[in-house]
Amino acid sequence: MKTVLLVDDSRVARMSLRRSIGALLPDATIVEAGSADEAVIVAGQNTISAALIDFNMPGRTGLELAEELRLSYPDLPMALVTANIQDAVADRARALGMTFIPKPPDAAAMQAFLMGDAA
Amino acid sequence: MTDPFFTDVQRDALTEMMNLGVGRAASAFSKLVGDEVLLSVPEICLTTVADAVAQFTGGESRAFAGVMESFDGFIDGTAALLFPGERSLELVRAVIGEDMPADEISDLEEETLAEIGNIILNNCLATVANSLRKRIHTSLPETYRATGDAMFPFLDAAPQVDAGTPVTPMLLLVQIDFSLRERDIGGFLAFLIDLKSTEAFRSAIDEYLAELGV
Amino acid sequence: MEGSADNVTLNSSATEVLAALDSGVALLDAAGRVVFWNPWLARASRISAADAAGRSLSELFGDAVSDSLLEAVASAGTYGLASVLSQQLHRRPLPLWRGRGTKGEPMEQSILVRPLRGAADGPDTGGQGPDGCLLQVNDVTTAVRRERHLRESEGALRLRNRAVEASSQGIIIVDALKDDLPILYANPAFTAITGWQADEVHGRHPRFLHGLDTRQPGLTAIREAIAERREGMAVVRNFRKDGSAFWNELMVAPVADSKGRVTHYVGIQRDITARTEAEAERDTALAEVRAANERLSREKTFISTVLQTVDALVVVLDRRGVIVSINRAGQLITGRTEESLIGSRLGDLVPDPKAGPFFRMDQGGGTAGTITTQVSVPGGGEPRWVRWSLTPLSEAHGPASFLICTGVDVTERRRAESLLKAEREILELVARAESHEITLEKLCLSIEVQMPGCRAAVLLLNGTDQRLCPVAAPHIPAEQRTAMTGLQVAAGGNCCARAAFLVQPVYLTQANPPCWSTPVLSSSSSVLGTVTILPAEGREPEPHEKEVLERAARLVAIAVERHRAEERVRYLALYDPLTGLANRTLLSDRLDSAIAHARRHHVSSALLFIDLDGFKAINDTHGHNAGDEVLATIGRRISGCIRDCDTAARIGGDEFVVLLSEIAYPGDAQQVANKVLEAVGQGVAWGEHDLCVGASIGIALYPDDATTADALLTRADDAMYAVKQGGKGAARRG
Repeated sequence: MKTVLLVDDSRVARMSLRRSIGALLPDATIVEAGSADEAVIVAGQNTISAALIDFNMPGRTGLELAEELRLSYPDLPMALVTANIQDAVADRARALGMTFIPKPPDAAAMQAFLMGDAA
Repeated sequence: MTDPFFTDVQRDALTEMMNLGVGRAASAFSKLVGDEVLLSVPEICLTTVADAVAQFTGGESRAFAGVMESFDGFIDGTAALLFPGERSLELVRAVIGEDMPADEISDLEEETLAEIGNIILNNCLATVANSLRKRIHTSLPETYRATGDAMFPFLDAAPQVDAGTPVTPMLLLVQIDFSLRERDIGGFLAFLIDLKSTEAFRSAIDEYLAELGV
Repeated sequence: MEGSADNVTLNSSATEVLAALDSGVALLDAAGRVVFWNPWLARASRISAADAAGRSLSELFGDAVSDSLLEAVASAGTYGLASVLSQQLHRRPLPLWRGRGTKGEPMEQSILVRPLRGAADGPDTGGQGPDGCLLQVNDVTTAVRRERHLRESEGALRLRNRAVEASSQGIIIVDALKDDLPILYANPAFTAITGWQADEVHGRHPRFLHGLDTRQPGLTAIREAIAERREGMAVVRNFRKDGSAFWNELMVAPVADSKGRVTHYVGIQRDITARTEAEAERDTALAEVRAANERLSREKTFISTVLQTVDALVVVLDRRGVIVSINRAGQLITGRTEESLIGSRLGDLVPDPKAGPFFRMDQGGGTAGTITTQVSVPGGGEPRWVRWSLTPLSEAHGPASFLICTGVDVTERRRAESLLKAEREILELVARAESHEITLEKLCLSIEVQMPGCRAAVLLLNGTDQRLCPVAAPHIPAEQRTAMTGLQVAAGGNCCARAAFLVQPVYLTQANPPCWSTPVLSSSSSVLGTVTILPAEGREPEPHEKEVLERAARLVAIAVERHRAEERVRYLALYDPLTGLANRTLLSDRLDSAIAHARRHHVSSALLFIDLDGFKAINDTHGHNAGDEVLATIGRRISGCIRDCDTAARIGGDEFVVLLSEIAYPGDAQQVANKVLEAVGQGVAWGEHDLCVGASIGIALYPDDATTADALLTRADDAMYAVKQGGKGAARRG
């Protein structure tokens, strides 16, 4: 039983992600957070097996959140899901051990992350 | 924030689409100039033309320069990239990495500005259309200069009259900040959507949201 | 137009228009295949319309077509998006050429991609998309060239401006197209800097300027700039034709032709040897100052216990005469704080500009020895005199880097010396019997030298009416001089009058003008006059100034008394002290003058020889005092009988002579003689007595009776004897 954390300030984006995850992992529990701070709390209340994090958010960015989560959950598979698809951002995500998934996420990329890295 | 045109969730969806479009535009830029282009999270504002003019000019008559192109398809209207004063010139120089001082924008730079606007506007419009699974058709971009109230030359037709009641068209303003080669340049994207299209726009967004399960 | 490539057709008139366009036009179908290729494009691409038809851009051009263009074509076909590919962001999306054949040059281009709408596509339908696109290619080579030329001219202008603004800069131009970068041009300033003539350097690589010193960091920077074909600037050590080295601030700038190819380099040289040396000297001096400060801090105990407590000034200077340290005495004497003095030049405190270099080792001064200079004090106070002992101080065995200046304030001593010198000068004038006025004027000038800014005057009491009058006042304005004239000695008078009245110095600081007066006292302590000073501002005199005044007053007294004694001696030599009449000496002188005058002007003179009758009896009866009184009275009465131009003399006990310098008629002499007889004949009161004498008078006339002085006297004497013999109490010509 997987529990996937979705972090995105856009409710529409979270719904879009929820749909793609649901198609791939019908049994997965999906928990959501609208900001980095909320994500830290939600992560503490659940046993998270994977996290999908938006880059551009009010307050802290997705990369800053990932750095913090990495301290508490060294082995947590994380993906940066972002519309900012420049190589420079992707490189920074990979440097943190994250999977880089451009928005809108295509099924193949999601599958590779959820079924591969985070399996 | 509420506005007379969209519900919060519709706005949220639109913001996310603009975010995607601007992100793609930034990617296209960075490939072109071989340098990272930082684009801020777009701030979206749905407003009327009169309010937009007031917001842009701050009550003063200021010069604006920009790029505009028209679009039609599931929605009709005009899209524009707007910069206060000389910032458009500065953007061109930043993009092509030129430091040569010159007072006038040259023909070639004018065309470069047109392409920059074209890239951003096309990406945003195409992203919206693709997300909503609709088609959109754009014209070639044109550069223009304007002052004060005439800052939106494409608004000449407004206000439109519908069933004898003057109704102002909807204006979707997207504020973005470029940061390129250590220069920060702020500008606006403006999408003026024809009144007869707004209902089609709303229903397209609702369809999209329904598909997401909202 | 229909929705497939096969169906994309154009009517003939549209084809004609497109063919005639001065830009490339291509129609591509939804799959990106060429449907139409206009002649312009065929020319520019070297691909005919027939060859292009039905092939995609990738098939036509391979890798030479840019990805951006392919993407633009795809998004036009897929999404219906129009695109612009600008020249500045894309350069050459298609490999197109201008001109024909092998002579063609690459074409700079901008491309517009316009989606074409399929016939079934309408604004309200989402299903059918646009089909294909129209490509429009514009040749912007000319525009690119024009704008590049514009930039180059701007660059050239900047370069030229830089060259113009520094016409003293050496300029060489080298040929960048040749590996050995031969010099093509050298301007006159280059020759002035390097000594090399332009024709001597033509064709040579500029490296000969570097001599053997080819590994300088500056040269590396210049070589890098040339390798990267950009502007570079560095300071390099170069050599002149005569072998001497100079520091060259070298700027190289590439010059490109219209194709962007670097054809020349311009080298701009500036000889900054002087500046470099100055900087090096400054650095050395700074290091020296630091070293000195370190040493001084090591010797702080010594300095604080010895230097700071001695009365002598101790100033440490660096090679340039800049104060590194100054002790407390130095601060007291100069009236400035150590903070304000450190870093300034000692020479700047010395008013005499010629003295400054003595304190500068870098200007040949600073050798061991002594020198006396003035040192200015703040606020316009009187400079102090300091006698300096200079001791150069060197580090180990190196050249002297510091100058220790030990100074003694000799202001008071110099004042005293100067005062003594002035006194000596005045006394010498007095001793040489120089004229009174000149001596006192010199004294005033001397006072003014001793007391800068003051104006001095000497006032003396007039012997007749006991009023003060200025005798010497060389720089006193006429107005004040008048105010000083004829002053009554009184307690309520002005400064001078009060000083004379009180017999003590008076300093009026609030008067207008302020005034200091010191009385001049004779050896018998009687007031002779005053020495009066008009100071520059209303203040009490300084002690040394009071001293100057007192000494001046004493000098005036000496001069005046000496003058009066001389006047007395002179008087005694020519006058009879009893009667105040001329004596024989003066008479003889006047007689000679009168004869000379009469001879020259053919006029007559007369001599009256007067001998008193009955005088001896008075002397014998009433004593010498009575006789003297009679003689004095008779003398005055005789004087009263003659004109100012005539002379009355007493030449013996009771013998008088009157010289009438010019007479119109012989009878005039007789008339005067008669008046004298009458005057003498009146009695002289002596106690209750009325003493009576008479006179016998002999007259001689020039030129009638004699033509020489002695002969005239003899004739008059003889005539007087004749009168005596004839019964006395008469006057007669001999």
